[in-house]
Amino acid sequence: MLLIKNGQVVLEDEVVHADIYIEDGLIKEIGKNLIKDEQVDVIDATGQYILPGLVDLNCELYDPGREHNEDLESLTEAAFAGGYTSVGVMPSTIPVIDNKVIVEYINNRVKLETKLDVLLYGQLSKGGEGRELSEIGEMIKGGIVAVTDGNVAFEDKNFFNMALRYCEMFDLPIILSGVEKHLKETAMLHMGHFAAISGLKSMPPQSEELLFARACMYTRYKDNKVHLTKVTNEDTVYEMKFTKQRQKSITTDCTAHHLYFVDVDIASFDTRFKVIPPLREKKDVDALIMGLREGTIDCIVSGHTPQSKRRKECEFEQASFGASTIETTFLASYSKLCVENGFTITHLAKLLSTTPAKILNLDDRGKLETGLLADIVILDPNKDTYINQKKFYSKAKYSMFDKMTLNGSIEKVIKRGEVVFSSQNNE
Amino acid sequence: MSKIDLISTEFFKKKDIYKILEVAETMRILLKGSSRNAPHLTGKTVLLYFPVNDTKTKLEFQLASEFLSASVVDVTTHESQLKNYQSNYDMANLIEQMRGNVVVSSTAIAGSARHLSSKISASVINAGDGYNENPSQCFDTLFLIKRYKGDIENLKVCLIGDVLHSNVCKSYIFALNELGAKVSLSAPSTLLPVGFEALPVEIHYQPEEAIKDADAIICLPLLDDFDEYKSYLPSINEYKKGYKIDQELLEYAKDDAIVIVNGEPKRGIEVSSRVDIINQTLVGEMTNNCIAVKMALLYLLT
Repeated sequence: MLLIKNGQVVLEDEVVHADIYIEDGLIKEIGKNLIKDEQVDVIDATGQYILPGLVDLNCELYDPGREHNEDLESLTEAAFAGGYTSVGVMPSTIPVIDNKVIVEYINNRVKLETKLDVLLYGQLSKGGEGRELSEIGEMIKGGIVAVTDGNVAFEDKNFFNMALRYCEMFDLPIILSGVEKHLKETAMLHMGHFAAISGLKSMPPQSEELLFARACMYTRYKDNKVHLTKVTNEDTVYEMKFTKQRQKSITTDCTAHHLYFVDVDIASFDTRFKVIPPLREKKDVDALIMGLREGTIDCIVSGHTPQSKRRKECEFEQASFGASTIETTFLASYSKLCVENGFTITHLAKLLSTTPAKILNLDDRGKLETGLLADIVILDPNKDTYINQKKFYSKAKYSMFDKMTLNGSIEKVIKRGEVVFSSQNNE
Repeated sequence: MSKIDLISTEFFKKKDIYKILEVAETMRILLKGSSRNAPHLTGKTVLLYFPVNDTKTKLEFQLASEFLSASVVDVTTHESQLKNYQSNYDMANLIEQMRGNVVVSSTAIAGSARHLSSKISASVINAGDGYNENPSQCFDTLFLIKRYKGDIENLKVCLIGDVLHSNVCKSYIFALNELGAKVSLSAPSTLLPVGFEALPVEIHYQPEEAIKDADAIICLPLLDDFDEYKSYLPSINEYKKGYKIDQELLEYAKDDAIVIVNGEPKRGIEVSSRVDIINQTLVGEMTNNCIAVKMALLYLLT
């Protein structure tokens, strides 16, 4: 039993000054001047925003397989520190999540070992190779919430078409990526000025647009619920703006670091900025913010891709793609969108929590309503947070935002009525 | 005291470039004398890290160090080991423990010199890192141009050839612009990286336009392995028809224009057999020039 008093409660369309009473892990009551005389823990949230717990659509879980990058425990701590209470994870484990056994194994471990809701995505093809369909129906019985091509688009058009056709049978979102496999293997930068100077191989922005347009075309007359993840490019945003008018079922997202950084930030060959899809240009950043404002881009994801330090402490060309972002995405989005660009806090809650929950068909979270899960983030807008990568909970202790000061401070994170992160403990 | 590196020519100041060229001139005179030994680097160690097999540059640096009485250590690992990210990381540690004063590095990885420099306390000379930059070779050429043309300011320098696979091209553009020269560039569109438009350089697909009134023409050589060009060019024959530097093309340049090629040119493809070129190879007087520049770099960095 928990009572949060005097907070600015961010509801779907408005912000109200109210108290929230939590019982049995659910939101029992939202109202003014709630008085509970029993033994209730009280959190005073005067002057602070109370938002629904964040839901991530694109995060990497390397457990089992590459636990040195990130394991379940460190991901849980990192996610809570970043305000995330539900995390959808890509099937980047070893073995790949492409059958029921591995789904059940990970789900059992999640149940036993962590309080975080780790939502598994199934790989559309066996081994992620894009040749044979995996057992999608079986995996759904095991408990996956979405299927995905796993951060690399399928090369084989016929297989892609067939996979989409097969998924029509299930009411499951298909999460698709805009990165070409052969580009991921050879190129590492946005095709632009910095790529020309550095002499590194680069990815043309058109390739992303092409892949996303391809996904839209193939699903035009199908009943698929397609979600295109990590839009980075200006042209893609325009393309999606028109496509979405025709195809209402398509949703898109972008990451917070693509709203902040551009390719010239890599100028000193800093491997922290080696991410996929690559950082683009200023015009692309502007287009993304416009897309978020107009609703062309539906949500923001963390794109958390932890890599071990050794994989990052080498030359740019040899470093792995990856960014440790789950702990900074919320504050970065708040600073960039709400403080700099005048987005409302309700809009931010939609981008980070309500819409992602809706995309994954999770109707028990993503909003602050009575009867829903008591997943809550308390944000203090009057404080600032100095990002220190060494203090990260994630095993990947490097960040693009290192030594930057972001607006806002995550005061408390509550998962199913239990305080799982508190800023006081952090200091 | 903070160390000085030579990694890129991008932020070089005019007076620094001229200083290097002046010292190189002194070194050249020194090399002409009967005794070639000078005591400038006595007690210092120069480490040569050349995973890329660039014998000419390596030899030049080796000779330059020995003429300046430095001890030279070759720390080159085999190129195949470099593919493993660990060995570069370990190499930096090793170099740091050896406590050398200068490391000359030439690798196939863009940004490797910068990375090395961030890991060690010795100065780093970049003798080519992948397709990024090659300032040491750039100074060789600047020295040549200065010797033949007197002053570099207000000259027009034209670069012709494979821009995409050239690391020194970017070093030229930065340095020549800082010195007040005008730079023009000509290459087939597929061998010209996207994003070059933002650099202070005139770009022409037609070499005749680029070469117009040029004082110096620098040939950016093709890779030795022509198979690399299969997806970039229809054939070497077609390249040759458009971009070979021949007498006909030189009609457009100034009468006293010089043509500079690094290494042995592919005669008949890059440069016509009849054209006189100033060849920066290990033959004749040019050897002295290149070594003199390298001596100047080593001396000024320690």
